[in-house]
Amino acid sequence: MAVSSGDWSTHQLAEFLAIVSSFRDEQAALAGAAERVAEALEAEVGVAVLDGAVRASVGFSRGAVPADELLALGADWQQRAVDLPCFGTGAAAVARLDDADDAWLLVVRAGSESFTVPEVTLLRAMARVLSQSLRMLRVLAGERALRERSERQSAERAALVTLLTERQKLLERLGRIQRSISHRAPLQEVLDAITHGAHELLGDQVCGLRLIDPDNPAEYVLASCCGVSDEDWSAAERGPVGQGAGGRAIVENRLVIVEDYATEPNTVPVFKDRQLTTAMATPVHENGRVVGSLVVASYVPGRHYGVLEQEALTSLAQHASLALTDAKTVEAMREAQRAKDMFLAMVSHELKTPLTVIMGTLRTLQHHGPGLPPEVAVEMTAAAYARGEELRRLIDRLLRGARAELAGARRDATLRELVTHAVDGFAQLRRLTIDVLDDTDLLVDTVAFADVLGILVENAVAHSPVDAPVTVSARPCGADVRVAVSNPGAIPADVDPATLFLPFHRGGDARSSGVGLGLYIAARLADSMGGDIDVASEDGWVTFTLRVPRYVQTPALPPPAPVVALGATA
Amino acid sequence: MGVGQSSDPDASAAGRAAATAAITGEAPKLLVVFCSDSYDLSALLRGIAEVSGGAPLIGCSTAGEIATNGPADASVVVTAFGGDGFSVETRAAKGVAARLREAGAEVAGALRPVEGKPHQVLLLLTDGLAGDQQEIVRGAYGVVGAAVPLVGGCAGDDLKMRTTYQLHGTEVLGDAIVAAAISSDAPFGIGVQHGWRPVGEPMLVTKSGGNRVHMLDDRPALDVYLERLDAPAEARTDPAAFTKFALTHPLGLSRRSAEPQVRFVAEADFGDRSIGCIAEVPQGGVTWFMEGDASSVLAATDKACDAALSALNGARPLGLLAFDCIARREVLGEGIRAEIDRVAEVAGGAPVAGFYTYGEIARTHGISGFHNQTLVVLAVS
Repeated sequence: MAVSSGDWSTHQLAEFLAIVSSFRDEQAALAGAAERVAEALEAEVGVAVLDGAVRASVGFSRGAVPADELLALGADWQQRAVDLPCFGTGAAAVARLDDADDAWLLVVRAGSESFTVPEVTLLRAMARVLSQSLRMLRVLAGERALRERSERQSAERAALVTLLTERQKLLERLGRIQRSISHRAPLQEVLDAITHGAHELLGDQVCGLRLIDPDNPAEYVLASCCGVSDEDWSAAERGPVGQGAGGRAIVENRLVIVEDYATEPNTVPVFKDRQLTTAMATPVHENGRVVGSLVVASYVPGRHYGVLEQEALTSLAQHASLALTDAKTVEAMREAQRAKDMFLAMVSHELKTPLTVIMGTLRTLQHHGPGLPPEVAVEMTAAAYARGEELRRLIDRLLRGARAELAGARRDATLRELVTHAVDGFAQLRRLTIDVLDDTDLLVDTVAFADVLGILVENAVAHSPVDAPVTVSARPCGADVRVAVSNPGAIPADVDPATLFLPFHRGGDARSSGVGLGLYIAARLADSMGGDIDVASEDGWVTFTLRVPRYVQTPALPPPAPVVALGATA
Repeated sequence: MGVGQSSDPDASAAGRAAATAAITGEAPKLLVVFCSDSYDLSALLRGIAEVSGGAPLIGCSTAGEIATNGPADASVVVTAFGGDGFSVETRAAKGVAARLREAGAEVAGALRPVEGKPHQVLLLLTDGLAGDQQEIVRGAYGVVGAAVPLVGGCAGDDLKMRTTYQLHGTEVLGDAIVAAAISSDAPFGIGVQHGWRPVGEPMLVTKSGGNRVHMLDDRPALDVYLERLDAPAEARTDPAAFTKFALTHPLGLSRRSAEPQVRFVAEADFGDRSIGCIAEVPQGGVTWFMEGDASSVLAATDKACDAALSALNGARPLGLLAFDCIARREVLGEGIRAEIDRVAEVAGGAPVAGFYTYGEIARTHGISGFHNQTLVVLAVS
């Protein structure tokens, strides 16, 4: 039976519909459509134009597509006879894809036979089907992009949530540790909280905090640990400082990761025997110096320490550093407090002693005055007066010492002026030789300078025979000036010269009733001027030398807390 | 143009003999070889090369050979093109099954414009079992364009449907296409006719993919085929018997021209009840069963030859190449002798060569050029 032309074009359209649904993307659809329309209409040339450009064509040899001529053909909707390069003459038919002017299908058939109405109708129908298909592909592509984006976003969100949860746990743990530090919980408690925190957060089997032994810096002590059995602990409690991952962290002062404990040189023997696989350690500081390390280690092979875990360990170590520094500061503060307390106790004792004598004498005179022989009364009064003088000097010294905390006013002066002024008044007491070799300018606290010299001369007078000479010689020396006060005498060999400057120390042969604060205050005054006092004993002469910079640039730092020598007695 | 044939059982002897008979004048520009796959093909080519002196050569295995004296099996037919009027370039593409269109485009690269020889044709011999042959034609068309006709056939293997061979120079290839671009100062003529007609009600191809038809009218294709055609018992179970039966019962696809395009049914899958063709059967389209008989086939032969000759515009043919589908051979039976005689008559004394193919290539208009159950005649002048 014959195939009617009507049936034929329906069949072609049906085939086209089936094919079109299989195209995966726009370009495949356009290429397929160009081919199918040519085949269906038994044309030699099929062209698909989209957005005003030739997107696919069949019938021209590669590279010889006459795009301009084809586009010009499409612009004219009347189908007509054509003459194309590389082709010859034929008939052309055009069908728009939709209402736009820049998308259409074109067929060209060789020969003079033009396209029939059913053929053009078929072409138009195929164009519409293609147009629908392209629209569908665009929508699908858009949906796919949206879906991919939203999948990506949820993956990112999930990753973010995981990160935040991890961070949260770390912060909670650190918060707890910080609270125990600020509540001045005992140091051991804080360190244990840190190692347990590391164990919980990082999940490793072994955690330890080691500190360099302050008495033996070549060794470490395991200050706190978690996950170590008792027998292992006694083996690992002490060891050489550089051993293991913790040792490397101390030596290199940075975070260290050991990926293969078995092959790492210089590891802790007991852990190597137990087949520890990986370890991570970071240094712990006290006042900026490395004093130990915080270590986590695992028996699980393939354990990898990620960035978040490294950060966690570093944070925990910083808290340990904080706790240690804090504890050290507290300790130092307590120490300073103790020293101050002891100083005040001694001062009050020293003040009370002469006062007791004075009060006693006055009471005796008061109650028994008339009955006392005149020479006894005079002697008693003189003794009380002497004691009063002693008391005055002590108070004077103490006040000067207190003043030494503050930087005194600096004034211009010359060396000769200062020395002369300072020893003024002593000349009556003793044969005093003043020798200013070279005069020079100074900018110093003149009051403090005079005080120090006064104390040194008084000290020399007190510790030498009555008729012995005392020499004071002063000269500039580089950026400093030196004033040496000498008297005949000697410091006993068994006395440490440094102890002379301690408060309440008295030389063995002190004649005067000095209170033992003179040299201490002199040293502090010298320190406040940025200088120092030296003592030498040779050839029968004892010499105290004050050295002071001629121009003190910075205010003096407060002297360190007094260290009371054991055994110093009033 | 000269044609030689030999049925010598010894491959190289046969080659030599056929080549000697074909090469009449000076050194040939091109040799086209059609031979049975029962020969040792390498030896055959060597024999030919001895005589030809290494002239460009293309060829393939067949399901039967055609020469001026008549059809034959287990023989070799050599056609030689010689003389200044021809300019030839050959090319081969391998690994075709995975890249049909690309391979078609590759061999088409042999074609180049030649000074003074405006008439060009691309002669293609393909591995018919490699896949959708339509794709190969499209690939070649994409390169050569509408101005150059394509002609040729699919190699055969005596109906075994297993492996076919293509020949290029001294190489024996499989899964390949070999092509010769022939430029001539005289016109070529190509005639294409099949001689089948549709029978019965059309069916809707409700499911197909690639070369396979799975469902016809929503029923398993194989069942519909066997039922409607009242196939004999062996054909329903034995693959070889099926192929033989299917040879004379192709499908026809609806096309613009009044005659449906014929689709050769190559084999059936008794498991999934699908039938396989050697080119695409589009889903959603409509198909008929086709039938033919000796007279319609012979009438087609006449028409094809006439068409080819008339395209020569009065010039005398130097020779005719015939690509004849094996299906037509089955229908004609003993009548194949008569067919070839008619062709030779039309040729008017000029030599005739060709072979029985698994598919024919002829693109003279439109963009499709793959045919089944068809006779394609190339007239050379």
